[in-house]
Amino acid sequence: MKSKSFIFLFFITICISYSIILVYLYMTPHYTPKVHPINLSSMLEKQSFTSFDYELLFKQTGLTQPIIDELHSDPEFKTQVLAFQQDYLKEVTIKNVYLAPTTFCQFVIDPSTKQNKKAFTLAPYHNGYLLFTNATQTLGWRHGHVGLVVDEIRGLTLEALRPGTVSCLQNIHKWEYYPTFKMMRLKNVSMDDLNYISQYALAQLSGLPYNILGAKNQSTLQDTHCSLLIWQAFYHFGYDLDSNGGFFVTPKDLTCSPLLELLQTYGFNPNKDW
Amino acid sequence: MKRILLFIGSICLLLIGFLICFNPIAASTPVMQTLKGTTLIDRLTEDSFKIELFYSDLSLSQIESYEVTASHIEPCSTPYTSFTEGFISSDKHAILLDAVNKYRHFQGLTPITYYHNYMEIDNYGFLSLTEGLGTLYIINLSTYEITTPSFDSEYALESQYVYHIVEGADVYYILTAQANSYKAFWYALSKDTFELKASRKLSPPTKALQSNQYALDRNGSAYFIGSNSLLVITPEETINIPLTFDPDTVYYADGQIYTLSLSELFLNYAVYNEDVGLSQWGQVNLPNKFASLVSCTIKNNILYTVTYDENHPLYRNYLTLYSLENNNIIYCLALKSHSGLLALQNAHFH
Repeated sequence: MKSKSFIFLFFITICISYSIILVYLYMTPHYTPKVHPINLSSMLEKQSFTSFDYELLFKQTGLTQPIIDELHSDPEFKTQVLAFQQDYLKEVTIKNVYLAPTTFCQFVIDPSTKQNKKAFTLAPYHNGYLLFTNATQTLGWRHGHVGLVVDEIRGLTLEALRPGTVSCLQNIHKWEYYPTFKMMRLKNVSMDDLNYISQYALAQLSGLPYNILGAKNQSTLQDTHCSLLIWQAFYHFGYDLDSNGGFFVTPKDLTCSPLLELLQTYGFNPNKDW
Repeated sequence: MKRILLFIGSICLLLIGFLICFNPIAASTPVMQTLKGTTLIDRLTEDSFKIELFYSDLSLSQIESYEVTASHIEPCSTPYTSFTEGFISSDKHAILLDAVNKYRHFQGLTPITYYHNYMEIDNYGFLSLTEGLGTLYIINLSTYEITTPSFDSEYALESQYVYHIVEGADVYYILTAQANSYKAFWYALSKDTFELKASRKLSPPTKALQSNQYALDRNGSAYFIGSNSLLVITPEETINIPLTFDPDTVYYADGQIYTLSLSELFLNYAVYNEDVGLSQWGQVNLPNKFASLVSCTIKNNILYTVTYDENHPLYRNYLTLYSLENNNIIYCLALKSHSGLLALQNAHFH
């Protein structure tokens, strides 16, 4: 009798806990920065920026120094940065979309029409850059997703999407519809090296079957999942991006890697890793 | 009794959590309900078209297709699968993959489940990956025998995206885009032996990146959009055609080349014959301001477009038909908001 009661209460606890987790995940997909919009117009006229300027620009736009410097040479620099600021600081409406049994994804929508709506604009990207979102979840675990830029000219990423699929090319602009986003890259590495990594991935890691339990140390590449694909691409060149070195690598593990630097963030709380 | 109530309450809480948090993509019903009264213009003299429209979510995991004629729109029961450049029925997808994977097995290669592009010409299907012409699988659609091109070309092994294949007199012309480059490759493949007879590396304008910004005709001439111009590279020469508008797309259909651009209120177009002579040009009205072109195709001098208006509060997608004989809209169907996106499959015109 006691064991039956225990099992019953255990089941009830699990159900209640899971429901609470689901509601929590629904409520916290996107972080709108708690800062007042600042008029950046005069600052953006400057020829060069101080560290204070870069910090302020990051808090207002989600763009870090490398991106600011790259945009600075563009004649439309000021207009672009102001547009980034507007997107970064605005509130959004989120919709949950069912992808597969137990897996859901969140996208930004127009609140009046419920249609998908572009949330932000990608900062300039190059081959070898990593794109992250935590807008996907399975059974209450916000695992997120990650992709690798492999064709910067035609705007293509290589991604392992979900069980039952193989790693394939995707249009990079779909990332602009996620409520949370990070763009990162390997630190202190030339663009040529990043290009070699992305071309290796395009040639060798396309068409691999998705396996959430895919192992890191595969002597011949057999399968992958979204973060394992990234790990496999960079590990081939001697970069271990798994920040905790465990059996399993997740998008969060990658974002926490000290080998990566942040380039753009949107919808993520800057005071949290994930 | 208390335990039972607590148990039922927990199940309800769990279900409510799911229902609140997770909404599956909207079913087909909303699209059908809006058909009455939403055909804005119908000047068709006969029920002369039948097309398939595809809705898909951003992850391409759920695809819905609809058969549209002038008088009705109905959901199709055929399940579809996506490849990078389009959609295909899931049944055909499975048959093609089975044939290709048997071939790859004999070559000691791993099986594939996804591909970049697929197109059919007469009795052959051309299924392409991105790893060069060695992964262009030519499928005899009667026997499902597979062949790959035999070639001796420095370009053929490079990573590239097969954009267009057109049947010529005794060759198939192939136009591809080189991966991570602004360059394009052009090939002529013997129809009898599938041996590469010629290959060239082309330099399109940097504006031409996607497949709808490249075109290829049956004489082997390649077309690329440029800034206020169209670049034509024939087997013999290169011609730069100035245009009165800045083109967005270029298509080859019905023996002619069509190039289009959208402005705030109008769709500008120019039509060239295969001798690169201007056949007709004009301007047609868009169904609304600031529409974006989702997809288009041309058949029998009728231009079919699907446009998207992100600002309209109710009707986001428009299927508009234009007669290029008189530049009139002959049909316009407004489609109510759908939680997915709309795309138009060129190959599914009837």
